[in-house]
Amino acid sequence: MISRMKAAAHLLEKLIAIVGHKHVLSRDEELIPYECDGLSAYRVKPMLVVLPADSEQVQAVVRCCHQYQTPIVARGAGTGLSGGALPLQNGVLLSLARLNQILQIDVVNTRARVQPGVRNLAVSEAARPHGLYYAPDPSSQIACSIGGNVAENAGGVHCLKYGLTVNNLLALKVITVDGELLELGGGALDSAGLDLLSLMTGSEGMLGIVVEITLRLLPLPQQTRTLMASFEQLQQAGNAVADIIASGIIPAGLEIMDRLSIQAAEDFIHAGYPTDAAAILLCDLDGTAADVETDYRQLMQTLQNSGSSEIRQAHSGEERQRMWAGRKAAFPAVGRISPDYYCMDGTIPRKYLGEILQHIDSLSQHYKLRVANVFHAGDGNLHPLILYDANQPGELQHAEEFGGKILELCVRYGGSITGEHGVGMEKINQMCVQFSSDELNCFHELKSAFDPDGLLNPGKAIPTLVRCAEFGAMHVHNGQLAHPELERF
Amino acid sequence: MTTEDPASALQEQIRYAAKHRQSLQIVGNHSKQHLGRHSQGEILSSNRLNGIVAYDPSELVISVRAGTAVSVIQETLKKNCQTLPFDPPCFNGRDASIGGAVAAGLAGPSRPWNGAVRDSLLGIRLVDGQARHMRFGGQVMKNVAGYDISRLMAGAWGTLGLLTEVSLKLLPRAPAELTLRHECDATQALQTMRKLALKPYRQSGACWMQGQLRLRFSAHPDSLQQIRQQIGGESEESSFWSDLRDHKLDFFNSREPLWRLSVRPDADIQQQTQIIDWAGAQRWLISTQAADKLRELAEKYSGHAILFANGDRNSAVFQPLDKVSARLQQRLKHTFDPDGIFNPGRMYSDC
Repeated sequence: MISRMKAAAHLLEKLIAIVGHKHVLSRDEELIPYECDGLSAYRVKPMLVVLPADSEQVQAVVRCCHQYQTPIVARGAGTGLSGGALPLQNGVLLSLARLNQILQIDVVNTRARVQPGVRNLAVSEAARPHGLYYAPDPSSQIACSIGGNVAENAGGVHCLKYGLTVNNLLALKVITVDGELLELGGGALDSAGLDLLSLMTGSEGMLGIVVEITLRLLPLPQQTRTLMASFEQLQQAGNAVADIIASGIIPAGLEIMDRLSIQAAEDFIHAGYPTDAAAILLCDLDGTAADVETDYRQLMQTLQNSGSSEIRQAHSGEERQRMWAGRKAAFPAVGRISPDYYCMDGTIPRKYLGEILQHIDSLSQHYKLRVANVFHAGDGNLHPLILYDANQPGELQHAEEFGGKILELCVRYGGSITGEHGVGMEKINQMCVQFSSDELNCFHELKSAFDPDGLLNPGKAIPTLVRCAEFGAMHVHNGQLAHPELERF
Repeated sequence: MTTEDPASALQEQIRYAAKHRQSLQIVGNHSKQHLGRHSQGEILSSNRLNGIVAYDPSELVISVRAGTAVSVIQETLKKNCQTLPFDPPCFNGRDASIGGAVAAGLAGPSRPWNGAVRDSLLGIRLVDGQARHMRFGGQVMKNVAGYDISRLMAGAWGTLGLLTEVSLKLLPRAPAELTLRHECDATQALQTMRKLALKPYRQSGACWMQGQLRLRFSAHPDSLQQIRQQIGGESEESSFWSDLRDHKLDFFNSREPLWRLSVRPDADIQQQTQIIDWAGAQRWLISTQAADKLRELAEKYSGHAILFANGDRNSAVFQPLDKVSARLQQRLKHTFDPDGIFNPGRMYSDC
């Protein structure tokens, strides 16, 4: 015990020598702001918070932690929704917030080189004068950092057409657990060797610490047109999405909101949503003026045939923004009608949307908790928001259990427990449902290849088989339970 | 899974090979045997893994067994006005298997706009060196559960295991195509390519060879009409793009070493015999220059060089990795293939 305290004191001393007194936080009042990320139901006070200024300091900090065998949890802006940046009591929380420089906007080669602490939206703002932008746009883009986007493989409204973070990356500089600099990708569209760039993306800070990112920029569309279609039944909206995709159009955004989220958003933002509709479909078309015009004609025809009760088009940039403002503010809007809400992030093949929503509805009645649904409809990513009150004893547990059931449903329909928020701490039990023990073992082996001592964000994202046994989860593949002949209760 | 699953026979073959530390050479349709490094071993053939597992056009996803021919997939997709975004090449007049196409990670001329193999790859089933049949990723567009092992398989040349099934994101086939031809030198061509990269046109090709720049666009005829007016040039209808993709142009007839340089698009590379593809990001060179020289040249433009075909297939075909990457790559190889049975030496001599 004494030697451990001694080691901790040595580590503190060394970290101060690297980043300076001001940038190592160790007092309770300094640590508390870091005890959770965007998933505030989970809180742990870290041993220390370290805020390096540049990649060299990150490298030195990681080396030092490696030497003292101290676990590291990396943190960007702390907006993550799955507890991926939840600290460890005996670990260092490594904040990358001070690495916040846009290093280069390379207009000729349409790319940006940035540090991990740069905010997502700041990239597009810096690129805009050159007629360029960065496509992935998570709803938290005002605040979330690019480093965090890489760690979670963040998506957003645009990703049906323009891809996730992984599809918009060209290069990463990563500090490995033993403090070496690993350069992945480069200036070209591919690189030699295995594709470690893809593997690193979405690895939730468990394979390395990203210290520099090269992003692909795209030309700003000449025109964007936004439409809103209302439906009297949610199922009709779901079918309309399938029809739009089958007609050969890939909209820049395609979102569904259900009645409860429409009403919450309307009360909050006054976006002009029809509060009597069962669902609305928001759709963005972009490209050259001619592309938008031809897509628009096709889209109108599809929507008219889909039973939409009203189709509205935004006639000005302002109106366009207002239509989207309601969607983008859907989470806080729901936050106004309920003391607490729990946001899920499952994905499903789109064709099962109607069935899944019916299941969610009956679960909602069973648990006596309301649910508002917003849905990245184009890519099958559901965000059911479970409304609860943490002050009512047992409601949080109920909400969590309900959420877990929704995720298991997604797996049963051939989908995934997380589309863009990551597993983190939150969905770790449901990983036991999505993956077999061979697959989970393979993940652990892969982690060991990068991090043999398990020092990078240990305990997140991939459950141990022991944990799965305790959770009692049954692995469901392709909608089929193992041993379907047995009765399950 | 039924007992007739042809994958289980292959799983058995892998289990046996691992036990006896016997090398296996994974083969689909033999269309890429002239690529990569020379590798020996007993044949592990995916050609019994045949057929489409799931395809619903409105989902924009197809799941297919790894031995299925690319042409069969493309035919099916064409009927529904869809296509494989990465437009994989088929060499030597042979059809490619989809497993081979994914393992080689090669994409056609539309790569800068429509993405690489990895961008379309949503999920895989894989038998690893411990004969574990596993599924990673899935059939949905977005999936961040677990490490992205699917995408790791794109371009791994079968060194990590046998792909038995892949799920791919699709793209609607554009209603029309337009190719415009301009006479210009390489420098002017690169300038035009860079200028167009700042325009939101639905472009699908930009290639310069022998004094001619060809630009391809895929969109609605109304949009193409406008592009033609704005950009000008001779319009052309030919098999140029598929010939370029499948290396059927005369340029590729040479027996001399064929190099592929993957570089920053604005790279100012002056070489006699070259094709500039991918709007500058991919250069094909016929060259007998020393490998080191070409690798230096590629590195100067933050890229890498591959001895794509011909030349010594036992030499370092791919650009050597730096120390840190090489070590990680070896550890990953060991993770998936602890006995080193899959395609030994196909990418690098030591893994």
